[in-house]
Amino acid sequence: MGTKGTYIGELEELVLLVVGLLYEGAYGVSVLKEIKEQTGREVNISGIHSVMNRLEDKGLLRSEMGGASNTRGGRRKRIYFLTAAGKATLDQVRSVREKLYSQLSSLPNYQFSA
Amino acid sequence: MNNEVIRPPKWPDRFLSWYCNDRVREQVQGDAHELFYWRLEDKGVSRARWAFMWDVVRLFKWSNIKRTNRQKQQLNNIAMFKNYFKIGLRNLWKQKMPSTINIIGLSLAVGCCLVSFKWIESNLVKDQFHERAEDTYLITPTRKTEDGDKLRFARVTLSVADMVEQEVPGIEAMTRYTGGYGQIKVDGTKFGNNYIHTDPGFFDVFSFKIIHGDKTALDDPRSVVLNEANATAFFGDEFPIGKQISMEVNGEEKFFEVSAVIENTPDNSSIYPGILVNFSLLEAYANPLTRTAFTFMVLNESIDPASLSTSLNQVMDKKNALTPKSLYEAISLEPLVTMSKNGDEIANGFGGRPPLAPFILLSCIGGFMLLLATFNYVNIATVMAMKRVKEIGVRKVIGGRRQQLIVQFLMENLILCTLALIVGCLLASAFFIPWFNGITGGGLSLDLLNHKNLWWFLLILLSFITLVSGAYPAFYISSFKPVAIFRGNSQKGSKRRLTGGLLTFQMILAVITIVAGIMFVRTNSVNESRDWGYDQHDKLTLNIPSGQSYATLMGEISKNPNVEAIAASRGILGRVSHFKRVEIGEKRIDANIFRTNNSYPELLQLKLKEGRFFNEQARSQNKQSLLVNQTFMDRLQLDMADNPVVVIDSINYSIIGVLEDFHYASFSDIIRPAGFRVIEDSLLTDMTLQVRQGTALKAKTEIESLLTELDPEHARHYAGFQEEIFDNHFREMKGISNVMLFTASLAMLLSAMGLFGLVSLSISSRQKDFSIKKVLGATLGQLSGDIYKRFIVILGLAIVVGGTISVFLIGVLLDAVYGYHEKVGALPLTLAGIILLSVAALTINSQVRTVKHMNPAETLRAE
Repeated sequence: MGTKGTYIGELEELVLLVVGLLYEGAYGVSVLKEIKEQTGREVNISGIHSVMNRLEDKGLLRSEMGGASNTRGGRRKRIYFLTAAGKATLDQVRSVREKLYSQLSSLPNYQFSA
Repeated sequence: MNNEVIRPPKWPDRFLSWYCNDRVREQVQGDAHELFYWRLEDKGVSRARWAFMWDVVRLFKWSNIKRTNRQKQQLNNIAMFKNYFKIGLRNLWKQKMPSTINIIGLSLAVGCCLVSFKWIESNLVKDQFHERAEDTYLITPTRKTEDGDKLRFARVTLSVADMVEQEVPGIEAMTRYTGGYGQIKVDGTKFGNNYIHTDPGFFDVFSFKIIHGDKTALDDPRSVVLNEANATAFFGDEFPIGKQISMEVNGEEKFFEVSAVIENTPDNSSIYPGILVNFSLLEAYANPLTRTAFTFMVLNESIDPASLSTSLNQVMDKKNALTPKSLYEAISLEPLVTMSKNGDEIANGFGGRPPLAPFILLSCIGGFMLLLATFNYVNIATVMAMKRVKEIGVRKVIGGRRQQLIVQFLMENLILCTLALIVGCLLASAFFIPWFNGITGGGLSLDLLNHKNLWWFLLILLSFITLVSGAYPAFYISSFKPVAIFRGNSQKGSKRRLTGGLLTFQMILAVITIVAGIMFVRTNSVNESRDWGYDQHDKLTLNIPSGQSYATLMGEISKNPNVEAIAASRGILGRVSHFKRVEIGEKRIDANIFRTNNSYPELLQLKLKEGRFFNEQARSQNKQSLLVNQTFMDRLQLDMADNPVVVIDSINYSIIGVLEDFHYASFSDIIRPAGFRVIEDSLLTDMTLQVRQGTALKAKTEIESLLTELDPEHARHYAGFQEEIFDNHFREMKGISNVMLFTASLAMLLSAMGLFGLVSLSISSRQKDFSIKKVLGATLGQLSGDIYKRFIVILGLAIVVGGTISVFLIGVLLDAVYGYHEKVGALPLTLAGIILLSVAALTINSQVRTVKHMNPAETLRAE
């Protein structure tokens, strides 16, 4: 693709993945909880919001207002979906990483420094 | 436990919903709440609360914060106004000369306007400073007069107050108020005779400030309340509370203790409480059915005074039942605030319609000054704008709309006008008002803090001068087209005509005021040296003390070697007026009939034209004789040859002699018909003594001490000079002419400043022009001729037009003020023209000098 939108940060990649995992249940808090459960990372909600906004601006996520729940005081959630471009980006990131990684493991006599 | 009740902390939550942008509020707040409840289960209440607060802080970021469109504009506006303000201040500072001219001019005008406003307001708006003024009423009865006319009176009988209190609902406070008479003494020294009886409710009805003491000060009948002036007069610097004074009440000396001191009565009050004592002192001896007093009451706000007519009628019936001989036709209420204005309709009441002439004069002066100053501003601002066309062009090119430019220029104007207003207030309170008080003897003051009307006036004045002086320059400047500006040609023709027109108008006003000033001063000096028609010198006048007969007093006084002759009269010529209807056949006039003894006209050395003076011997014949002035004869078209007999009060009088006209009233009035008739010695109240030339002062002290010897009871005996009779009048006239002179100098100053500004601006905009001419060998005369040419036309026009207008206008003004005056002749007009021309020449020359000293190399090198 070559455009600026292609490069995404590490937290952005994580959020993209989690939104994809959660499928129709991805919104601020659920993403935050999922990240915490799956990776043990504590991220604050404000950070999640800004990352998701940024990803939406880049066209990697799409959002719509979802259903309300009692714990939210009757307020609706903004549900995020992974777009095709988002999926493509994830694929690209993964392929780049695997390509590099495979080259790393093909070096037979490499001594890892302490 | 009480899990149900636990909610996210209230204030952070409110803060969150307040700052959150509408678009994201729902989702963000929902997330925050959900997280809170999640943490509540995981980590407990306090951790969850802290975390929530922390989240709220974290979420307070640009993308979430509320930014409506309107708010965006407001932020912009503030920045814009800030910019205007800054540029305005810089311009003021940069253009020091025009700014100074404008501020000085406007502040002088504002000062004049403030004086006019204060004077007019204090005469027009009376009694409104009382807290309950709107709800206070004067009880006014209507009675039939002897002629059968119905007339409203200002005072009701004492008994009515109680009846009103019983019958009329909603009365919150009430007070009666009437004068008392009796010798007032402090430590044995005598002070005047007048004090006031009033009920303790006085302080609930009226809100004169109490300086020492409190509202209960009048509860005790042995207490007295003084105003500041009296307290100072009685006790000097000593603390007055608790001091004793004595007053005669119903002829009996009583002692009172000072219980309170109130402020001096403001100018705009109809009642003047100076010394107040309890009303019960009067009630102790006065008949409540016949004695009257002003009776004021405060009604509850909810009560409509119009609805009280039935209860007032009941009061009237009750009162009439007690006094069948003197019946009220009606009882009505007069609001306190209109009491003075309607003074003419209420007999024996307060005030009356204020005189119109000073109103017109003062508002004219204020208006003139304001016009002059605003014209200065318009002129200078229009010319100054030419130096700022580039700025306007740039602003327009980068998208400034015309409207914005207008706002910008008005804003700059507002800054200047506000400054001028502040300086004007200072000028007025420090110089103009004290000076004006000195002339009028009034007590005006500029009380900025407690004077609502004044604030309104200042606000209106500010908007007026800002708009009037700023509107034209703002519209004119903002109409420039950027293309024309940058190409370098801008339309100048219309501007020149306008500035020229305004300057001409200023100069016309200046001419008129100068002529007025000259005419007033001149008329005054003519009047002061005018022949009075009799010899007013070396004559002493004195009041015959009550209990002394004319004959015995004459015997005592004639022993004084300096006294040459003695005559007596009822009232002193020049002070007394006693107009009577005089009839002869069908013709009738009103004439001032002086009642004297038979030697009085001769003693005054009135000039006899025809006939004879009163005859010393034939006393009975004298009683039927009348000595009249020439105007009397002219008005009735009488001839001495016919031995005319006139009728006054159905008594026949034959005219025995005609006097040349003499001045018996101030010079404000023309001489009207007058006559002398002889009365009984017992009715004479005043004596006039002819003293030897040069001994008047000595005789005065001698006579005064003689009177004190004869009548030691009275504190002061006073002998006056006949020639000082009109001194008050002269002082007053001097005051008016000083006001006119001041106005004239101010008008001249303002026009000169305007001229100065225009000349200097026109020179500075033509510096290159002049430099080139100078280099090419033009003389100073040629250069200054260039400058003069434009202004000489304006000045000439102003003198001609202003002179013509002033002949008419000043003539009318003089007619209103003086009984006799000269016509506005060539002399004052020429003088005014010379003054104007010389001031203008001085002003222009001061600028021409800059051309003279200008170094062409310097000016041409620039750029």
